[in-house]
Amino acid sequence: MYIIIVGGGKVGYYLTRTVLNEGHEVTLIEFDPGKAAKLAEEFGEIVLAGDGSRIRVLEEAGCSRADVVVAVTGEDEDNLIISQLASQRFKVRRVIARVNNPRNQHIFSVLGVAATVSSTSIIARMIEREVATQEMHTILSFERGDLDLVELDLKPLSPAARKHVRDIALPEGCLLVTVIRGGKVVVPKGQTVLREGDRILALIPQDKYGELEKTLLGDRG
Amino acid sequence: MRIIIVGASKVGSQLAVSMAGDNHEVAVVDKNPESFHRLGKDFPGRLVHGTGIDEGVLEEAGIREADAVVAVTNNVNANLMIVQIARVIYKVPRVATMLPYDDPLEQFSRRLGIKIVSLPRLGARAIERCIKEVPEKCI
Repeated sequence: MYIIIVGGGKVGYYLTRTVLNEGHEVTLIEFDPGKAAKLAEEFGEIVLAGDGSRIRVLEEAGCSRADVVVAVTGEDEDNLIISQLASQRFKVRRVIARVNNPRNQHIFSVLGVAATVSSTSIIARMIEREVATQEMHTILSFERGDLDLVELDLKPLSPAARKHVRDIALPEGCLLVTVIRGGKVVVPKGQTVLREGDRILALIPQDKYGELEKTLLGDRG
Repeated sequence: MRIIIVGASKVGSQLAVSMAGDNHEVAVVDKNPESFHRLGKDFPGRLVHGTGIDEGVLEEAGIREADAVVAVTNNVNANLMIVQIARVIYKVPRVATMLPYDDPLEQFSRRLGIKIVSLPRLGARAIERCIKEVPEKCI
């Protein structure tokens, strides 16, 4: 794959090293000439000194044939414009933007940059999960973290134990995917009765951890 | 007209003073409060301290009721982000910024109904006119 990384700060530096090790072709664009020269000492000619939010610089980097463009500068406005140029003008299929201020994630998505990564929100979310739920575990995150696959075990006192699936009022957007009972998979239907010891896999929006835990496992303490 | 000017830059402050003088309701946003001195002591408009790429700051400046938003900070990409927020999220009818270079960037911003003044083009045209046609009209 051909990957263009814009921004040679810490994130850009380690990202470049990582994807180079994986055998990808990379161009790293860095605005600051001094920084660019330093990066070139390690990475060689794949470093391009220039403003990655300018069309001619992206052209020079061969943006039209890039498979992925990653905008990881320290400034959200720069990452937005770089991403918009890459996807709208150069028709790059996969564009990923770093968002420094998590509040900007919404703005990016409305302005057509859907794939954003905010380390602040990722860490905040991890802390939230750790604090909120000790009985539910995240197995997988989809949709860049908006949707999670979680697992939990029903206890004897869980409000959902001995209930029909159809009688359980799941929080909005939650879906029971499967029930594992005695090592076997039970596909949950309306008439399925949940039992203590059932391991439940559910798809949930990331803001529903608390609600789902309350519905299936009850209040803690 | 209710107008928000983001950036008390040289252009921004001159525009703000001029629009306020025409009895428009002007709010000026700048992340550096020291820049507000360019507006002079008697500036009748509102001053909002904060970065223009923040929805909260723009709302404080009254973007929900604004008839026009102008982004003239010294940061080109911030300007482009601000005008897009104003146009796409808040549906402000008139939105404008300017670019210090003539990149084809205009093309994609124009799609959204954002007016972009190209400084090189504007300057070249003005100078050309000065020399060729009406020299007395040069400022």
